[in-house]
Amino acid sequence: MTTLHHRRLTTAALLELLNLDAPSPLELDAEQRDALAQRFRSVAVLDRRRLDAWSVEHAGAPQRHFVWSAATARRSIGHRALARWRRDSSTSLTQVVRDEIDELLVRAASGYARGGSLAHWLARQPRAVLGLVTADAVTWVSELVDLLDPLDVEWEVPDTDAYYDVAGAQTSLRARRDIVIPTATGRVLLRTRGGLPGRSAGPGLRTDLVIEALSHPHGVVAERCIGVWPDAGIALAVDGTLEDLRAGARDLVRTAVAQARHRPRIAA
Amino acid sequence: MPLATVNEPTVVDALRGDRVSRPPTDRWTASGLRAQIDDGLFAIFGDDADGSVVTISPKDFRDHQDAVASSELALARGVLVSYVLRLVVAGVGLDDPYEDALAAWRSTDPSRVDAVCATLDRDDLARLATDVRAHSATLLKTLGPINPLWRPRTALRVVQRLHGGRVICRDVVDLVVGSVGTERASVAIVDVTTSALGPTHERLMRYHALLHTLRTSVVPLRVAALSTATGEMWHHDVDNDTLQRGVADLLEILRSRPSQEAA
Repeated sequence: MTTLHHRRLTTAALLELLNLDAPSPLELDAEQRDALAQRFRSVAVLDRRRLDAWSVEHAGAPQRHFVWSAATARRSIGHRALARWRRDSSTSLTQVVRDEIDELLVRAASGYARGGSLAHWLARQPRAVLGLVTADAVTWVSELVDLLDPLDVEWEVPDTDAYYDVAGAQTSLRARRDIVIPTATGRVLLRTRGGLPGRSAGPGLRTDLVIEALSHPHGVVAERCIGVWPDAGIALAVDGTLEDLRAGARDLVRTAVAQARHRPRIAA
Repeated sequence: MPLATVNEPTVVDALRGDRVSRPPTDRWTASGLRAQIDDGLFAIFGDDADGSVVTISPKDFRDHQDAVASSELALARGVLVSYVLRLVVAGVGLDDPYEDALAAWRSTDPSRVDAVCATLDRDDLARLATDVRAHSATLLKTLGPINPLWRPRTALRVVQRLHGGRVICRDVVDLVVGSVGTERASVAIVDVTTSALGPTHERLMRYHALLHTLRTSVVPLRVAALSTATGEMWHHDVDNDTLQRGVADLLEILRSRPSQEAA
């Protein structure tokens, strides 16, 4: 039986989710990785496919063409600004966001940014749009810090999301992770989303849980994956149990199948 | 409800007030409010869980006359001034508030901007530019400097699912400062409007306070409405009376329109 904890997004509720009994520690071995890769290889693929929690929650429906905007840039900038602020919290959140944007602009000016990257897009924006990007990123990071500051636990900002390339299946998996909270027996993942959680929010969290475990060098599974929806004031969490991992892996394979069904329709 | 017009030099001074006199952070009232709202919604909808979803947003709190008077020009002005606020809070020095706000709006919703520009004739566009510059001047004069350490958040979205998802309340707050994690209440909510303040804004202030309380489970310290048309500001501390009246306003609106198709 899979798990799904539902709480109001308060400091006390988050602490409770962090302190729930940890499930038995799990590690994914080479055999399990091979079995999953075998499943993906059996699903037809025309070109490289990418799967993440969003695609699972939307049953493999094709994603809209991605364009950079203040809304799509806020997490990338906010996340890196949060890591910067974690190293020196005497600086204001507005300042770390500005510093992060400045660094991206310098990268673009020095020719290190590839076309289509965030730095490349930022470098072509007028000052007013950069201001809007700053405002959006500051709001994103402030909401997260407001949540984490009173927790009084150690937390880390991972350098990147978790990525896993499935061998021989032309499939890349990506798990969203904003914060990692080390515990006595392992780690808890935390990720944020805007809006209201949908009915498939639980499967989305399980997807992140299983991809993050696959990306771990030793296949160690996180104790829990907590999703927070600050706009709605809701926190959901799934435990790192074998059943949750199996469900997460099954959903990923199903999504790959659904994507394969969508693709020919697009080609037609 | 005691409403105070601003006597302090700036909006920010009025909102932050005297730090020593702030009450302890209230983390207990929210659950009671939720129960009270659920009781009220049960009286309206019963246990009909399969009915269509009713969505409530700030525009539902407008008087009928206000809604009728909202022209395309007035709506565009409101949006542009809200972008000016966001840029000012982010610390952007504005060369031309109208052009800068328009560039920011275009970057997020180009088709809407094109539609507005197509709807308004040349005279209306000139009037819009003049209006936005005048409102921005008032905003800059009355807002005052916002310390980045107060963690200012702009265009903060709130969405609350009530009565098992039968009712969805949406809100966008122009400016929020302060933190819910402090021992003394410090969160202040500001609603910026380009129209003159009236009963609509009084209800909206209560709605903002109520939804913020439901979202964070923490009662904010103060709520304010600032008119860039007149430079007038109303502000008051959020107390039980404010929240109770906010609940009553919400239920009253729902009683008057019990069914609506999901958006």
